[in-house]
Amino acid sequence: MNLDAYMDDFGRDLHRAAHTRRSRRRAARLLLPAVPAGAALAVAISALPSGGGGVDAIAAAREALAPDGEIVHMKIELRHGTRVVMPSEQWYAANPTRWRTRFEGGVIGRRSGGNRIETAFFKDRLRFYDAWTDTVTIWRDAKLPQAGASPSMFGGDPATDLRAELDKGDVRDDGVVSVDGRQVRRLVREDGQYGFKRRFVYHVDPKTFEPIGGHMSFRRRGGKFMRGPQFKVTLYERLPLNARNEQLLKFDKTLDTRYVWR
Amino acid sequence: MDVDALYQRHRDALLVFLVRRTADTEVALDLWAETFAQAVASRHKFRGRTEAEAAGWLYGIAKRQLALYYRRGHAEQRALNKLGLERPPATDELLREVEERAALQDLRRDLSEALSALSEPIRDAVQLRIVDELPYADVAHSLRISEPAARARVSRGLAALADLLDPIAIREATTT
Repeated sequence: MNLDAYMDDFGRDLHRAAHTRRSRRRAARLLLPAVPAGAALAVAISALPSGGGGVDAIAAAREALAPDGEIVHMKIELRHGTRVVMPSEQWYAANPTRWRTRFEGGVIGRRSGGNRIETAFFKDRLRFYDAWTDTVTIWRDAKLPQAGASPSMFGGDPATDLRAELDKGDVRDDGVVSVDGRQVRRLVREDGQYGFKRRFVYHVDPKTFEPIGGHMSFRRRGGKFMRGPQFKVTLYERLPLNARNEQLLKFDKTLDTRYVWR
Repeated sequence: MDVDALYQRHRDALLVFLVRRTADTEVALDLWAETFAQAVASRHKFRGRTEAEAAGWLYGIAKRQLALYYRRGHAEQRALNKLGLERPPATDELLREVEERAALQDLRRDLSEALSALSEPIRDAVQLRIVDELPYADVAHSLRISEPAARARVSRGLAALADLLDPIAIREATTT
């Protein structure tokens, strides 16, 4: 692509943005996750182990999210515009897959009275913990809620959603670009969903492939564009997998915790 | 305000303006995209009537973006994010074409002569980044400082060299 074609392309995007701003904002508000727990479950299930592959950068990015013999600990802020909609924290270990995700605070947390909600997966069972009612709900594999029941767009668990997006395949490596003054490697995945062309952009460190952030966007038929949620990884660390750290993959329960089996 | 017409009239000249003010094609493309995104996002605030007033308004936005870049060491992307826009990644070939259009090699030559006016830490950073064209990570490594500090030194250096860069950039901006 030469410079003229490059400028023509950006000019078309600019034109669309100039003529669709109001409708984009309204639609984007509608796409904000309304019930984090339900969406978290749906998104989490979609991330159960699956195949995939691709060029080295994509494989390295997946490896950074799920290394052998270590626990990946991440804190992710899900943002819409300048608002932090939902901060989440996740501990993840591979082989066998097990993880725990905690949601607390943010816009949605304030709406639900500052409630802490956690989900965890191990031994083919998905567990959901509501600190407000001190109740653990356990789904056995045969009764797991169907994946994809809610829009797959960081509805509740950005960390799990990242792995799910990379596992779906067809990820494109855009190479190293500059974002907010930082060199990042941009990985992009596009698909069609609910009548929209959905675009998932994932930024990783160009050398270590550690997650940095990204966003989701949508294009309606006819080319109208909407910005979806953004996410920023505020903490990424790998912890040794030992008996003490294994406890991080489980809920902090109390003696009074109730259990509900589904 | 017809933003499409404004874009068509000024897209080339504004990019050259920014390349010659930053001596960095990637940064210039970021600032260029953000400037037009700002123009779209705030077009209802424009009160002028003539093409000249529109051009002045657009270059005013660009200069504010430049000032922020000099201060912070990286280009803002606030309006791009607000509009859901993304600057497409540029290939090496495209970056070379941008450099040629902006006659960046000539500017680099002029800059290397003007560097002697700067303090040593700033001069070293500008020399490595702009004249030797090293990535910021290598500049930081060479100077044994962090990458943000390297960016800050380069942008401070460029701001100090604005006397050299300004007349060229303004002439180009006003002859289109």
